Amino acid sequence: MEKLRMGDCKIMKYYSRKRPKRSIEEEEDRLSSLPDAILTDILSRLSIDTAAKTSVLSHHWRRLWTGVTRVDLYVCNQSDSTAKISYILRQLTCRKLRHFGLTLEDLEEGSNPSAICVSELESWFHQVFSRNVENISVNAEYDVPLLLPAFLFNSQSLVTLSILGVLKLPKIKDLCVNLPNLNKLTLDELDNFPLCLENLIKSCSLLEHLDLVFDLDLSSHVVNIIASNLKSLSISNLSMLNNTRKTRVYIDAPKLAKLKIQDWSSIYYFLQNPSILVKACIQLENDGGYDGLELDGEQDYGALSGPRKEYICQMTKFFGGLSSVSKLELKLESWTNILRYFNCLNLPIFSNLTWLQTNCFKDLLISLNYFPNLEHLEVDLWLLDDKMEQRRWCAPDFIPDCLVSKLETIHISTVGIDDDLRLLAYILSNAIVLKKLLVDFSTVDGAYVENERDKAYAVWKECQLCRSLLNLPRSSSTCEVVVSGRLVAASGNAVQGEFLTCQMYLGRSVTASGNALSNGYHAKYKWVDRLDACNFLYHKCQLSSTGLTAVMDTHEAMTHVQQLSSGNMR
Amino acid sequence: MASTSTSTLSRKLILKSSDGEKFEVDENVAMQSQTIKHMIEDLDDINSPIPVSIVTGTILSKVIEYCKKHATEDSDSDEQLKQWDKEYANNMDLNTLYYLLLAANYMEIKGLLELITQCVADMIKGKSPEEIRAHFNIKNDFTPQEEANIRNENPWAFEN
Repeated sequence: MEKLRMGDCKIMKYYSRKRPKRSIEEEEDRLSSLPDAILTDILSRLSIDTAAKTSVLSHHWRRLWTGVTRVDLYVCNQSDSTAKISYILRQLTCRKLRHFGLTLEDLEEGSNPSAICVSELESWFHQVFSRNVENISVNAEYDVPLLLPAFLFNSQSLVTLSILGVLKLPKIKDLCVNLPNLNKLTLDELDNFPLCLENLIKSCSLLEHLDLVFDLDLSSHVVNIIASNLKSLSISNLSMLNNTRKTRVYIDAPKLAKLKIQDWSSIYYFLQNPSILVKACIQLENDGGYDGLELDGEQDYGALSGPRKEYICQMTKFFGGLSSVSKLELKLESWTNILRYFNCLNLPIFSNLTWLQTNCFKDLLISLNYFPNLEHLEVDLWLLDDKMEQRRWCAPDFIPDCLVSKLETIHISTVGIDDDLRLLAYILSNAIVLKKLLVDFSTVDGAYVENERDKAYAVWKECQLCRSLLNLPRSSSTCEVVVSGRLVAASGNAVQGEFLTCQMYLGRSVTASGNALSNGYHAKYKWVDRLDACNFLYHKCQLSSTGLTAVMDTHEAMTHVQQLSSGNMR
Repeated sequence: MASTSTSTLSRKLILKSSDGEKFEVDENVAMQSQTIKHMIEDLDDINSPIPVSIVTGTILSKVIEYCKKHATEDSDSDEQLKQWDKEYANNMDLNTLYYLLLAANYMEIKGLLELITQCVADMIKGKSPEEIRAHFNIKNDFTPQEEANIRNENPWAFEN
């Protein structure tokens, strides 16, 4: 109460000072009479240049800007920018610096950034540490490695530390690490995972969020991540090299709720399984790199041997440690395809899992029984099944329970070949509670059209596929099927009498309302609402020597549909 | 002590402004003010009006408008709430903004304080010192020589 009364007095003074003459209120400088704490809060929301500019407004504003609690600084090519930063940091007066941001922009070739990094950088960090900084964010995304000063890892006040760049940790044995209040650490990217970092992670008892990106080009390495209170962990290994497969990452974080791993070359271990994990994203793909081991993907479990067998066995075991998750993203490639071997290895049941996103359907079908409560499934076939002729769907011996009684939405992307229709037929005929099936397809014809006539053919081909998909028998009476290709999109519920109740759109950018007509080819069509209208369209295309020139509106289309349906419908 | 969350939600509080105006509000609306939250904890009789002694009725009604909007979390998306905040702040004249700043500061309503300080910061952004002075009626009490000296001290701040 004491505090409140003091506050009252202060503000009452403000009021009595300002109250009397209402008529001249507009002329008064109300802003300057606000408490300094509020004014420095306002200035903290401005760039340091703008904040410093206010020093010239009046005597009252002369030194206000030096009290800012958030500072973002940029080092660019000009040599005076380092002098400016040193000057600004010396001016600061706040007792607790909430945020210090430093961006080292592209430095000119020939200039020597390492000179800045070592001497200047150290003195800047010294300055902000003396202001009890809570949040440090450094962006040094240029090619020159940034050597981090050792004392960066010794601060009572630091809560979040985020450093982007090619980072070099101090090469000191027995680096003294003391960050008792650190909550969030982001290091992107490291070319090494030294013992001091392991110690750092281990010793930060309040650390809850850890985000690491590293590029370990060493042939063999062990990484230990031991963090008793960690809630979210993200690890990306950028290494493209095949010979780094021996890197082993040991994770001991029993309180983990979110886990993200993007790494195709390391082997992961849980020292303790995280029992309250909710969300996991496991991407074991080699982005862009050549996958020279693709043939191995088709091996049976018995044929596995050597490093691949070790990888598959351990990664499946690691994957089993994620069994408490409710939401899972699993991206594989042929070498890392653990899905294929679930039935041969002892995998626990993922009873909480309701949402799954993956890129492999063929092996998922035989493993779906490990996910009995799955409700939403998203599969992008493009990445894993590059070689379409290799898919060869075959129905599993038993129908997975979740497909029959749990799955409500299925989204399949990049369906491309006729064989995929068999998969979709299998799904639709078995999924009783399915509410929505979304299918994105691309036919080769649709992808590489050059002239108008090809386009017309592609439209016709896509229409045929839509028709086939929408005609598939469905065991769920309420299931909606939405199909979209490059040129044609259609959606519909079920066959009623002779007609499908569906809508079809020609041209991706043409919306149902018909008012978003784009340029060129697509602009020639408004929407038509019967499948057979595309037959009409196709016939018209064939007749027209210049390809597709017809402009149809709904009314015209409907008339022709009626003609067609009375004439040449089955 | 043993109050359940449902009973706290339905409880009503009476806030009394500096000029004697009384406002009846749901407890969860008033509790967004840390100051009031602490006052309630010390209060024996929940039914007696809680004095918000430095805030006038006009300003308090605006504060309550903000708190009501932010008390019902689920009704709007973040995007809609941001839009509402923007319009709320844009409809205030400068004087109201100052009083709201003081009220939010005194009542410790973090969201409102952030909203209004950001609003004032946006007014300063992109303006020359002369324009800032004109906008906020700040009287230049420097001699031309003094002003020139300050500009020389931090020349980088005046480059743009």
